[in-house]
Amino acid sequence: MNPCKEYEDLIPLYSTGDLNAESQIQVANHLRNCEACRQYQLSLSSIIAVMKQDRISIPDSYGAELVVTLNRRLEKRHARQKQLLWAIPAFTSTFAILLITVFSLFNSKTVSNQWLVQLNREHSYMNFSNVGYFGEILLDDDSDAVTETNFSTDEIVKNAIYQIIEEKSLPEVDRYLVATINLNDDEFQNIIKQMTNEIL
Amino acid sequence: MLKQESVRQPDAESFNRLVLENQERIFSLFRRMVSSHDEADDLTQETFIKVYKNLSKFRNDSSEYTWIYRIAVNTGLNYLRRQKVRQTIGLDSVDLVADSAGQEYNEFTNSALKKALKKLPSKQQMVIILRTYQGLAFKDIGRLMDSTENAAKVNFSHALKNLRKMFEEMGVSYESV
Repeated sequence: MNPCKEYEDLIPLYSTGDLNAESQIQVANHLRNCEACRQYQLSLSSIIAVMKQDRISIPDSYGAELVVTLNRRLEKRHARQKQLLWAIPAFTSTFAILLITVFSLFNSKTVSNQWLVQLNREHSYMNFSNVGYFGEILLDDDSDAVTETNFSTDEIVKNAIYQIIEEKSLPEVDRYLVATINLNDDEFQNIIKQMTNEIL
Repeated sequence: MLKQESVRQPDAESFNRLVLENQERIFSLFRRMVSSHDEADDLTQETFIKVYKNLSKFRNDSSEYTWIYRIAVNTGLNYLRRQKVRQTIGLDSVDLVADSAGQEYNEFTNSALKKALKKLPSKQQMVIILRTYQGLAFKDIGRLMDSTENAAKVNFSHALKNLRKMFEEMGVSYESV
């Protein structure tokens, strides 16, 4: 049998005496007249009685043992915290040293790259000055005109060599020697033919 | 009861006194929730470690007893929620079939009661323990559980109804209790 809906939630509190006086009387009156609710209330009271009968035993020594155990745990915790206090600065300084080392390495690589670019530039100027024909190779006054991207050393050198070889005011021996050293076989043969025609 | 000033300082002596004064209540609260002494001991230790860690945060808003009890109730509720998850995913199972063979009647009823209690939703279980076993008023239970007196009463009524239903499923007769 199910209890009446309107009393279902009140009866548990009635069983523990937790209703106000008015509700307590109201439920008591209802229970006198309703068998289903009376059975319901009896079953709840029985459950509460079972719970109250169930006692737990705590050993007398439990409190003292607990204090000892907790103190041991807290000591370990303090020890770990002390270790951590040492570990944090040690770790931080190691990390900082590592960071500085990596940064230095990266920085020196960048500097050496810049140095190589600068060396290339200077080398290219040296090539021109070796040739001695700046007027023929037009470079802007702005040194940025010579950059890593638009600069082709081979081409410029080749042009400079041809200018030396084709310069008629120079002695033929010098022009011949430059051609021998710097040209491949086909180019050399062509130049020799050209020089032969000039002489003849 | 300790003086407020002594509680604020996390020194060993005042902490030990705090443990000795409250251990029985806290342990018995957990002992109702779990099946073994060791589990209840673990939860009691967990509670007092939290108490130690938060001693500096304790203010005069409530008594030390209420403050410690609140930590214990939260620890207990977290434990019960974890247990519910374990039950849901099948790691722990609570079988509602009570074994009456070879048991005295009281033993059988107690075993049925423990099984039924474990099946209750965590808040209902906590309210039942606090009201029936620990004897706290609903007003205090509401405060301890960050809730209201009425919510505690509703949880209690539902818990008793659920227990009754589970007792019937297990075949416990109330007439003989």
